[in-house]
Amino acid sequence: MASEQRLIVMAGTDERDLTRLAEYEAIDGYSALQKARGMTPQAVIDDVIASELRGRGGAFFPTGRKWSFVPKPEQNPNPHYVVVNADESEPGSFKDNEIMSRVPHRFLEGCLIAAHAIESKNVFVYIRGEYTGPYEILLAALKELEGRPDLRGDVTIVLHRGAGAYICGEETALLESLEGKRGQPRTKPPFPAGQGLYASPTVVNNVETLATLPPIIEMGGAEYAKLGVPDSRGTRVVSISGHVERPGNYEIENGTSLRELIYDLGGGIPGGRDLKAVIPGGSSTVILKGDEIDVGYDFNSLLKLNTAMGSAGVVALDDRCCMVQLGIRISEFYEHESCGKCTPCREGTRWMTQILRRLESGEALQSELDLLLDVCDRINGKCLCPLGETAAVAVASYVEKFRGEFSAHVEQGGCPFGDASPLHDVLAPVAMGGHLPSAVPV
Amino acid sequence: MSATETVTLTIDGVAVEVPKGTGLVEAALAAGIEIPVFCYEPRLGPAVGACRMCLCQIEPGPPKPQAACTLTAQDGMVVRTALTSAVAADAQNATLEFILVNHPLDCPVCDKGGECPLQDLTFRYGPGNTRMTFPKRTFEKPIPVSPLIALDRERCILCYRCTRFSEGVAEDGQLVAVDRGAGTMIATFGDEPYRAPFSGNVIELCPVGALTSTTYRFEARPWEILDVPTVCGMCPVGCNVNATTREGNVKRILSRNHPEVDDGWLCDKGRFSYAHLHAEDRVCDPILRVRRRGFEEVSWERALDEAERLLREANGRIVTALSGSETIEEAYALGKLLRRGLGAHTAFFPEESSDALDAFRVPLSAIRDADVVAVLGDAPVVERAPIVELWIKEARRRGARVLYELDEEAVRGAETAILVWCGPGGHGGATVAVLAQRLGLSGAFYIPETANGRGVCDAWSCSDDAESASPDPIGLLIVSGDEAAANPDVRALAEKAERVLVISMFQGLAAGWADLVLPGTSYLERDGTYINLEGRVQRLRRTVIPPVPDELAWISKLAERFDVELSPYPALVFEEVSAIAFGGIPFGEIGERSPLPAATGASAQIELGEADGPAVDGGLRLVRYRPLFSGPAVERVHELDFQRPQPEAELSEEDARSLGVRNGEEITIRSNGTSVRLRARLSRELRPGVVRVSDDFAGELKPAVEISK
Ligand SMILES: Cc1cc2nc3c(=O)[nH]c(=O)nc-3n(C[C@H](O)[C@H](O)[C@H](O)COP(=O)(O)O)c2cc1C
Ligand code: SF4
Ligand code: SF4
Ligand code: SF4
Ligand code: FES
Repeated sequence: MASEQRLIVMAGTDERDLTRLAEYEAIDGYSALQKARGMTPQAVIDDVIASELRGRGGAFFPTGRKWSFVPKPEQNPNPHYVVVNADESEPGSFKDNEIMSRVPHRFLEGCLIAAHAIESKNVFVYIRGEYTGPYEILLAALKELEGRPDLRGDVTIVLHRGAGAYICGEETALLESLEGKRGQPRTKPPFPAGQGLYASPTVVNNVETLATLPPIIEMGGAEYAKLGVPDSRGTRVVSISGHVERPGNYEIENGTSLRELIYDLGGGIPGGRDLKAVIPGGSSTVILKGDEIDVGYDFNSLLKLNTAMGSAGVVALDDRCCMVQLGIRISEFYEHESCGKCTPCREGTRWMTQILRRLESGEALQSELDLLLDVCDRINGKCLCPLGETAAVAVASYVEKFRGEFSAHVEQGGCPFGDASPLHDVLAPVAMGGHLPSAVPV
Repeated sequence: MSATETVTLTIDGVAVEVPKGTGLVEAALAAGIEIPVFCYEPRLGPAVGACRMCLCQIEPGPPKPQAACTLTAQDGMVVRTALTSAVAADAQNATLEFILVNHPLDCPVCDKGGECPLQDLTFRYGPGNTRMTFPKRTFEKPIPVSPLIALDRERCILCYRCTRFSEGVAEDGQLVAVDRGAGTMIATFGDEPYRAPFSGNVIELCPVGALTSTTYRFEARPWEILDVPTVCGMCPVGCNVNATTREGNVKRILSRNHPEVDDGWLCDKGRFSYAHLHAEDRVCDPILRVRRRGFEEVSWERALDEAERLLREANGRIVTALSGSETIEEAYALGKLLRRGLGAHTAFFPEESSDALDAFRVPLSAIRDADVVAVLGDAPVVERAPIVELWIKEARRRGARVLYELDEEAVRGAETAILVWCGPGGHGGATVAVLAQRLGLSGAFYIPETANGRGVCDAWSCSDDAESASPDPIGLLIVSGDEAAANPDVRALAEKAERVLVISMFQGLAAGWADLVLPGTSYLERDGTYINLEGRVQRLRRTVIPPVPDELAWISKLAERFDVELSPYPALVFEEVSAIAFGGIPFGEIGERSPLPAATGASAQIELGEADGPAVDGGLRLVRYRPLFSGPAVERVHELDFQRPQPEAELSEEDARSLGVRNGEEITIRSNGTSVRLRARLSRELRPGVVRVSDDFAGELKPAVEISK
């Protein structure tokens, strides 16, 4: 189904092994960097603003605007830092893994372009500790760059491995962790742009955001902005998993319909079963019912359904799935990953899990459904960072959209699905599947 | 002078104008409105926004409630607290509900009960009942954080005040948070005891009963205690404190924030030494040496007769050894009795004191605001005047350069520079005054070794104008106070004296060498005044009634017998001293937070005595110091034993490098035939050429030493 993908970030992978510098250079790799270096930093920022690129890490913040908040070296003489968020730990999301593994040089080129734009000499890549594969590939790519001062310039790129905390993907917790401190978010303001790493000007960007920069510079921002739909320009690498025939990463133009993602690219639901629900953008997003998938996969369309592209992890759930069990899975994850800094998330996620477990066991009263919703409501909007808030919003959406099923647990004194609910292979580590066209076996 | 820029905002409909940069919590306070907080504590550095107790509705801003503690007042801001906003009220209620889902609510057996912010805020803003029906989180309890501090983990609300103090104020980094989420726990690094000079502050910072003092635990309830405001008498800082008393006993010492002196912090010596009042060997009756029968407890009537006899028989050949811990009134009274009544003018002071620094008088808080702080004299500041070390740390955190060697260029180049002298020599401050004058500085400090050495010296000289030659031989040596009694130089004088009269609190110090022992009192038991190292006159209050008459009471009685007029009331004695030395300020006006007298005009010529210490060529110079956790009071408080100094020698990193010594390695320090073996500790706060060892471990070492591995 490659024809329905639109390869920008992954361009060239269908013909070559782009992990190797020579191969990447053979398709004009690093020429965008040279082009950017021929431009003033401000011109690069302007071009990225023109591209309407928005962050691929989850918050979808306009990248060029973010860069424009960084003070110029004359305004702040401290070192400027580019920090790459490669901590990708959101259940359902595994795109950065494949980007780093398949187009490491395009990603590094993007880092160097960003460094030029904010006049930084230091890039830190904070990579999820479990991502040993991509780590090795990046190491090798960096080694190749070592011998190429013409490309590397005077920029230092440091790989830093995380130690297994989802919260360290939140940008300020990431910075704390990078500084060697406990991985807990900071209050904002101050924002990283002004006071980030070591209280110095810092840009934090997602892997995919950075890997999108070379094609943008190459084709020009205005050209890139022709792709996709308003407010969601360009392409997106989407991780499709769960109950689909062909789970894996796919690069699509923003605005492609969710139905196409699941039924065309993903190959539909195995065994011809019914689609019960879809998590559209990683575990943090509001769930969609099976009949809500005729929607464009873009910011505005999903916003109308109160949900978001998030970290672009699309998880399909078939009709055998128990929504209470899903709630427990998600709630346990957030309880486990809560950093413990702020009260509502730390105490609330634990309480949510306790209530959900009792619901599943069949011992809960109807009133506890409302209690659960109220606990979610009391977490939402009160936390220090989005982790707790999204946990509450996501779980509340399961109750709201599948209230009958939750009630049935109370009425029947137990779970109507029981062990038959096939959640064990959902949100678990997913084989990326190699559905992006590839010249080399994945 | 330019007026401070202000902003005007509205809080619950009340318009309030505050200086730019004021935090919202303080701005609300100015409008008479409470924004409830747990984690917020500006003394701990920037707000962290952790507890979410302070959520308010704020415009401009996102629609959801904002953590007010993390924001500063802006012009035109509209803040709505729980008073006027349902959103804020619900948010605060939610925070409390979440805090309480795992809180044990064992208030009836919790030491914090009755003075607990969690109780108070729950009452004001929280839900009246709980919807939590699951078993609460429990932990083993109490966990000994150290012999001084107990942790009841299940009560902890994870406000991170204690860890922020440890990391960001005391900079000892020993208290940490481990694990995460609902499993987060406060613990010490590596589960070692929290052994650091300022550890006790975390007890006061803790907004719940999670961190309690082992010495106060289960000792009293807030409604049966009385807090008496006084000042600490354990070192020359003179931190302002409240002594919590119950039924006539001191039960704990709390800080009483004087923002220029202590910023609300105390060291563990000041906080925990109070138990010396009940030392086993406390002298409660006068003790007389009786020929052939040894020592006998006698009545006060008899003791005063004997004291009178000793004084008369000495025929004016009297030397008085002072401790530097007497109140001004006591020292003045002793001086007046002895000098006017008996013509005995000779006093042995614990250390030199000088008024040269009065021209460079600034509050301790000026250290925080300096750009350069030069710490001279080579002795560790923390051991002599702990709080000064916290001010220096704060200055460094704010970007000041802290030098341990005089770099005149750096000092001259700074907008504000402060000199601090701590160590041998220094001539009571004259040396640093000379430096300050030469460098044109406005602020300098000298750190004396005694709490009120300056006050004692001033009081003694106010008591009479006459002088006399030192008597030889000494007919009577009067040893005033425990520090003097413990001083080897005073002991040596006693060997040469015909008779010895000792005023002391403890048998262990007084017994055996005195002809007469008169019971002493503690700074916690006296009314009077001290002068701290800034030159600030501060009020001591009698926090409990001592088991013995206080010094002023019996000195005045004795004075009567020599026709010297002396009031037994500190207020009246102070007025006599004040008329001479403090411009006549009355006792009653010193106040609970006493102000610092203005700096005097620079003195034309500062006299320096002989040069400081012997020059040491080749080798290293040994600086021995009296450790913070030492002295008669500390030695009588067993909970403080673990704080006693370690067998260590501090070396500069540079010397260590050239000697090839690593941190923690055993080294031999040698001088003139004696040697000691100690663990090396590398210090960035020591200049090359100097090695520092506490008195406990310096043995017989001379000032010039050599080091080998
Ligand atoms: C709990 C949490 C986890 C996050 N994890 C990631 C992550 O793994 N990778 C990522 O790029 N952004 C993550 N983010 C978003 C980052 O905070 C930040 O917005 C992003 O790195 C900015 O990069 P971008 O503008 O290029 O998207 C996370 C946010 C939260 C609240
Ligand atoms: S919301 Fe959760 S993860 Fe975020 S700061 Fe609060 S406790 Fe930590
Ligand atoms: S022990 Fe006390 S001060 Fe420390 S985090 Fe817990 S509640 Fe806060
Ligand atoms: S620093 Fe000095 S005055 Fe302050 S508490 Fe400690 S001993 Fe007392
Ligand atoms: S007081 Fe504001 S978050 Fe704790």
